[in-house]
Amino acid sequence: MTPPESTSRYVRMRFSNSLGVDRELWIEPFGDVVIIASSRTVEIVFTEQAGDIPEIEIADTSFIVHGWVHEILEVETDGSTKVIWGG
Amino acid sequence: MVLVLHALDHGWVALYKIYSGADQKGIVQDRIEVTAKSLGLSGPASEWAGIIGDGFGPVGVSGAITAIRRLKNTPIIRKIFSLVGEVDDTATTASKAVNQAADVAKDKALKTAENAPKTVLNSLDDVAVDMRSNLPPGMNPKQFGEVLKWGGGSESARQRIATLTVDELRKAGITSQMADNWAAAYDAVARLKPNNPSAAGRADLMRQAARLLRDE
Repeated sequence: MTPPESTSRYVRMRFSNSLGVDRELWIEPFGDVVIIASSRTVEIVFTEQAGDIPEIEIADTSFIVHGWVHEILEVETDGSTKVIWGG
Repeated sequence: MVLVLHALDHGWVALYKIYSGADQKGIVQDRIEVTAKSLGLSGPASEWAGIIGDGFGPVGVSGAITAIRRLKNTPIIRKIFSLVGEVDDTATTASKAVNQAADVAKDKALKTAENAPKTVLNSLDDVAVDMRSNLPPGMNPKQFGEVLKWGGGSESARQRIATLTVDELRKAGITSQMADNWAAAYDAVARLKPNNPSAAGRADLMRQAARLLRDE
């Protein structure tokens, strides 16, 4: 079954670091990096590009997100967000 | 006009000039025959026969050019000139003129390309669109990175320059234009995000990829 076409320009997903240590999040193919502190959650916002599926790779010492990232927001404990990359 | 040093049978040599006629056919003038020995020529004719001068298009014995150039400005060549008359440099001048015209055209093309309006990449979204439109058909950005093997950081990308081959680029379907555009995209990333640790090195890597693809 073909999924419904998105009407949003952006696709969002949240990603939590529960490893107990800070980890780098590499943003590819931009080649940039941000730190996700231990026990923090980030919201990754991708620009919508038909046919491209964002992918997250778990490497030994870092995470790698492959896709057309528009911005990354840190999600505060009260649910508010602040931009830590892009925008 | 060119001067021809033509090996004949029994140790004789023909010397003559060829001028380019109006119908592009060669016109032979000042033909003389002397012994190879009288010119001090020895060894197989393949080592010395050929054409002295640069305008040898219609005759074309390029295999002898090296030997002839080796003889230039030697007593043998001076003796040949004394027998046949100095070779004027019309052909050489013409050849140089052609090369200069080619250089001018190349410079003009480069300047035109430099001055041509380029896509302005003023946001990471613009860069994303540009990168995406310069992927080989059917390839996603992760696969593109796996082909380039640029690693994380500029140092890693620059180290990769030494091992990058045109074969792997071609096999992946990457063209010089794609590589140029990726280089420009990474330049834009470096401008928009000055603290990006990889963009400058990847721009250099992609420029090298474009050079390899252009020069093959």
